[in-house]
Amino acid sequence: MFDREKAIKQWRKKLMKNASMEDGYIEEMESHLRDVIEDKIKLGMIDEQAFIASIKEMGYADPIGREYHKTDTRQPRFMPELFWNYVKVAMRRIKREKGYTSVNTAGLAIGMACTILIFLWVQHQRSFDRFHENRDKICRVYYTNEAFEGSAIYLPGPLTDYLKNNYPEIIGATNYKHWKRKVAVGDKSYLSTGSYVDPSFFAMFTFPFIKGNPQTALDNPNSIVITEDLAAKFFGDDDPLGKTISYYVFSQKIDLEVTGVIQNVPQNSHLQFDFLIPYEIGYDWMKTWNNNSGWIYVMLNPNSSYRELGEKISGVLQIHRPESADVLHLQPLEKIHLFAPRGVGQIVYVYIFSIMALIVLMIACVNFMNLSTARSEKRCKEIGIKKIVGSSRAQLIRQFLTESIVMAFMALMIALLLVQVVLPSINAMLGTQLELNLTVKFILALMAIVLFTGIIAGSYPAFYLSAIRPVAIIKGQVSFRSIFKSTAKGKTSDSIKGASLRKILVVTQFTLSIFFVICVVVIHQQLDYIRNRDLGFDKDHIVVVESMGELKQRNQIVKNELLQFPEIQGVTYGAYSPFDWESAASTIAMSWTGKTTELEFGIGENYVDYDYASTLGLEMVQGRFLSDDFPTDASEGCIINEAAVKAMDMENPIGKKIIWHPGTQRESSRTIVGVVRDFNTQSLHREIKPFVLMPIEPMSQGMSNYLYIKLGSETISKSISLIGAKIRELVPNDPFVHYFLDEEMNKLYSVEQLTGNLTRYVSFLAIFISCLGLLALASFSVERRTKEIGIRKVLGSSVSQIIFMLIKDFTKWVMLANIFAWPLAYFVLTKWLANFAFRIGIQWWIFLLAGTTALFIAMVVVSYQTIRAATANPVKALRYE
Amino acid sequence: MISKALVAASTKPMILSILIGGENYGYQIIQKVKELSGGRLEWSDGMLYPVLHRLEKDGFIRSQWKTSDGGRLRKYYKLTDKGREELEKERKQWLSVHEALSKLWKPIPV
Repeated sequence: MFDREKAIKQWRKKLMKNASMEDGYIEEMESHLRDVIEDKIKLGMIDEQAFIASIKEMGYADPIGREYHKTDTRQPRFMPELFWNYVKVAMRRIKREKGYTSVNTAGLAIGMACTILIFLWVQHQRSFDRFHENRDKICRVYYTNEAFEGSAIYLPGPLTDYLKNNYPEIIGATNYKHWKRKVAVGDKSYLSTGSYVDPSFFAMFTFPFIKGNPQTALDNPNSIVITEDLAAKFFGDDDPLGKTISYYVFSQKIDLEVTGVIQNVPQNSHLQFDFLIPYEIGYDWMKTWNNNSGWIYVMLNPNSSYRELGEKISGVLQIHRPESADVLHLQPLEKIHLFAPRGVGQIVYVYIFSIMALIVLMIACVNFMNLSTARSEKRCKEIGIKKIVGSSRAQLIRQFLTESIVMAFMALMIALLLVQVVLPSINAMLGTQLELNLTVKFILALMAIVLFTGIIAGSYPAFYLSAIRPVAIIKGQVSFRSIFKSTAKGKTSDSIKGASLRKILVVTQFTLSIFFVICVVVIHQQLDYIRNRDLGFDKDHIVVVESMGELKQRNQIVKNELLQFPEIQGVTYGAYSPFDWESAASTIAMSWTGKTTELEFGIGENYVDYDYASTLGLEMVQGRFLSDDFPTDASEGCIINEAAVKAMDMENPIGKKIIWHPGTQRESSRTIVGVVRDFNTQSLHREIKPFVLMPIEPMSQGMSNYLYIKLGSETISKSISLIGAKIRELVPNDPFVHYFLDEEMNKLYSVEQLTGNLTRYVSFLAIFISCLGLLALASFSVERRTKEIGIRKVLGSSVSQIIFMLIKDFTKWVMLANIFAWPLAYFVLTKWLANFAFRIGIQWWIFLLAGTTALFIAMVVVSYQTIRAATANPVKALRYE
Repeated sequence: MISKALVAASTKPMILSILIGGENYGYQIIQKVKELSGGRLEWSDGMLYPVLHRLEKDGFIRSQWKTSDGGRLRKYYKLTDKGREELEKERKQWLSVHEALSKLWKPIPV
């Protein structure tokens, strides 16, 4: 007889065998089954038939169980509880392994801080002139000249209007001619940078007005627009609009009315000025085609390309200056700061610094990864247990990544703190106003770095270690090494992979460190060479006073008065600053005996006082210097330098004549009375150019822009105050502007100086971080080999043998790093030195020195751990076996 | 017969739609499906329960054990607000499929 209850019980048992079935599930299904059976019986089926049909309709236990299993084991994508657990575990580990954590985070933090700083600087450099609304439409006009092999940006004033009137593509154009001039209100006077500009200046450039109307501000020829700083200096809190400012063109005073106050010019503008005045009131010569005046900017209509227009205007100068070989070009505003019109420009340093930043970050990341992976090998047991308790591989991966990301994040926090701390001194060093602006973009970039470092550093333990078979670890005292040997299928085990990965990382770090050390030494040598090179004149203890206004006219009197002081050894003056190559002329309009048409080149001209050579210590190679003992010198004498003799192709230059503008009304000639030894008037990046010196008197008294005063070496500060007092006494209305010639010359190499300093810091950091890494790695490797060392000692190894064994490995990798670093450094430095016309050779011993230094430092770092391990009592290491 | 894939895809909207008429238990749900589809939609009875379990875990339905008049324990399912929203989403999806297919299958003019 069929027993329904018994049959149902059996059916239940069958279901219960399936591991995924819970009691409740079966209960529910049973209730269902009973309903079905009852319905079937109602339809007339007999008991047994109904039961069999019903369980068939219900389906098999296995597929149902599988469905339940799928639902029950489904995990949410993100489990917040677990995430906090990861963070907690990470924090706990960080606390437990303080030494390791601090070494690791410190390394990364320093690297990040350095990168952030460089990044800030790069960002500053790249931000130049970006604040102008019309930035993509404005171009600066410049010209190149094949005879000069150079380019220049000073152009004749009328070109501005010519371009605007003849080229429909140009919708705006302005001149920009700036000078440092005296401005005064009442008894307050300042030496400020001001510029002559056209009224359309404000329609082109974005310099926001605080007061006044930008459209009309410069319409009136007697107007002046000043910055808020200058306004505050003169007027304090009073409204400056409508007030009068006296503007001095030398001793001539012009009264101007303030028609506008603009915000201070941002630091990242290549146009720097304190006030603007209409171009109209400039000198007459600024409005002629024959003289180069200031810079010219044009604004293009948005649809035209500056390249096409640049080609169209290239020959414009020849229309008004038929003899000129200058070719016009256009340079977009945004490129002015970073790109030189010809050659490369500042951008090179942006690249160099960016690369350095990346390298430092890379070293730090590599270090971080290295330590993390080395450390993680100790965690096999943890991983094994976790897997047994039920962690999935994905969970382990997540845990490891969280850990390394948490550490990287900590490093970032420390890095930001570091940046805040050192930023003021960096700003002082660079003369910039960099700020740590936490913009969204910047934070995103930082987070990207954190994630990148964290993920890369965590990926090795996350992906390799999480694949370990837990049984292997738990079963016996299997070491990390053998686990991988037993599980790896191929011949190269994963452990070897991990170890060689670390070795590659160490070699990379040391390669970069050695590279930097070599760079530091070579850059230092080159800068030293520049500073101490015999420039052909004596730049030490010379004070340069910029003559404005009255001082220009009274130079001779000032000179005689100053010479009364015993502290002052000499005084002279000249028309151009010794660095100014912009005053160069071309030999196209010159002639001399034996000149051929091939001899076209740029030649510098300067007008100087008779004591110029003696004060600046110029040496005569032939003949004599200009002197008032020879009255004809004033109008007929001139001096050339050796470079000029060579360029002019003269055998016996003394007594030969140079003729300017031959065959024209302006023809004039001078006789060469002496040849001066070449002296560097330019930065040592360039060759010495040909030069002509002519007496400043009497034709050009007003041109003496610079007063040079030679001081005794002991009484410098006293002499400066004497000079200041005397000049104020003689020309009370003029500001006293002075600087030391050698300091000014050093400024020519400020970028090199910066590069030198930066490389020094970077190399120090690189070595420091690398050593941190090496230290941790050494201690790790010693720790791992404790037993091996114990056994070796028991079997009779001496301490020195063990030390040798341990150090051998590291030495090998540092040596290998040398092999990579040397050619790299040689290549890069040769390129860098090629920038200098006067340069040192790279000496072989620098390479050796860098290599030995790195090796020595590595040894010192490793030896502490090693010696401790080697001298330890082997019993301690082996006791637990 | 309706293909397995389509059956699987339609279980969710089907169950949710049935439950919109009030709480119900497994057996009745199955009966209703059979009735509505005229037997063409064939479910294996047992497979309904894991699906109900999943819908409950997702929060679309809520269950409660109740004793029926006949003294039998039954698990009753009820639609939640979240389930109502889900049903609306499903409905829109099915309707747009339906609409597209209907347009395609317009009787071809001879």
